[in-house]
Amino acid sequence: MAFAAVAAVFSGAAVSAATVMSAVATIGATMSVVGMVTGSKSLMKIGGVMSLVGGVGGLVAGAASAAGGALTAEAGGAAASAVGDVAASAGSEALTASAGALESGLSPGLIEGGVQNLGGELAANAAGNMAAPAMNAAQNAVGNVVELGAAPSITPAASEASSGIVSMTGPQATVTPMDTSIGVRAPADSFGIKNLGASFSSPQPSGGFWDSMSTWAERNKTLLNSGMQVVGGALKGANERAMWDEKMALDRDRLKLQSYGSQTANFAPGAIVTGGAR
Amino acid sequence: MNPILEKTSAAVLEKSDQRLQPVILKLVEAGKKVMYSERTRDLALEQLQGGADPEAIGSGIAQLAGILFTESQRTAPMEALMPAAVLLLVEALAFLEEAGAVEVTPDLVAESTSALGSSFLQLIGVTPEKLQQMMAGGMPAEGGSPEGMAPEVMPAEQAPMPPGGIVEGAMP
Repeated sequence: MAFAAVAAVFSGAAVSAATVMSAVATIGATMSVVGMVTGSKSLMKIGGVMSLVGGVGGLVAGAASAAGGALTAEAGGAAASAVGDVAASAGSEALTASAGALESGLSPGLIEGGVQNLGGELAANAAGNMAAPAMNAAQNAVGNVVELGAAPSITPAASEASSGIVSMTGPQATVTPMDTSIGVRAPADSFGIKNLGASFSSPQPSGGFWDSMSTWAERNKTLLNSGMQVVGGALKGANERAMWDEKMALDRDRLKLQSYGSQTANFAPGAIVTGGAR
Repeated sequence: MNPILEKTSAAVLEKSDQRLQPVILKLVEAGKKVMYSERTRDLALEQLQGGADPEAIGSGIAQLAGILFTESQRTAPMEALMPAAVLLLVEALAFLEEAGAVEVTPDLVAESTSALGSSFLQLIGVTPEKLQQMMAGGMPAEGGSPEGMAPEVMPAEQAPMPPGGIVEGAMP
């Protein structure tokens, strides 16, 4: 099956926007990993950009198909990963052509440092377990599939901050359970293998493709940074809400233990009367 | 196997979700069956004659990943498919190196991975225009005022407090 034919299969398959964004984020993260192993700065740069695009896009795609208030694994994991990238590389740095800014923005040490800083702000026991997976997702270059419990309700400020991203539900194309039966048939004519043909060339060489992506990301730097603010704000708001709930629960417990006022005095008339009655 | 390829495989597996590793490994096994089947032998030989072209190698693996995705009825998660694709790329490079067709260097691995990512994104129809449409669908278009887009989340400690504090302020 030639490249065009495989592409046609995809176009007919109607891959969802959320799946596409998930692919973008995962490709970016994977490229970053390979870039770090091989020492390829350009690969790390492209990987960082695509992770950011995929993360923000995943959030948008998730919101676009929203119906509730939960930040699901795909959007949350991708968004958390993107947040980690921004914390490390300050988004726009990854988009500059300057090698110096590139190195400082995407050095693994800085990424880890950025993630640590971000992790310090996120409580590990946030209701809905958003924070710990978010930290792990941000620390892993390859996008994680993060299981989230019932997400905490986003604070009103955060909801407002999402302006248009009203409900943070995840995409409809949710990550499948780990069903290892992916149903791959044995190689046969159904794969069209014998028609794979001699042409393995993609429509556009990778150099030109990544240049166009980088150019697009550079032009939309503000959009992506704004998206990252929304993601960061939503996560921060959710985390603060969780911390607030925890604090209030602790205060209630403390009140129960220490409060004398909560006990109703026993001024029952019978006790007074009988106590003095003869 | 070449140390670079081993390090790449190990790093990709380490960074992937541990819970998805069985799925990743199953995808890799399925991909190997396709790669080494009799029907692809001619194509493999053609690759050997063509030398080490990272674009061709990456593009070929991207097509393989596409085939695996469609054959899985689109149920293979991307978080597993992409790491599996890189592992298949490593497998292909190891095969070519053993056959004496290429010398695996970090640059070759990096360029092949770049080509793999580029080809796969093109395969699923990702272009800057499509991304712009997707982004515009959920956010204001580029050029709009960032201030007008979304107010920053106000930290809880900065939220205006009712007079007299929360408890007292809530009491009638």
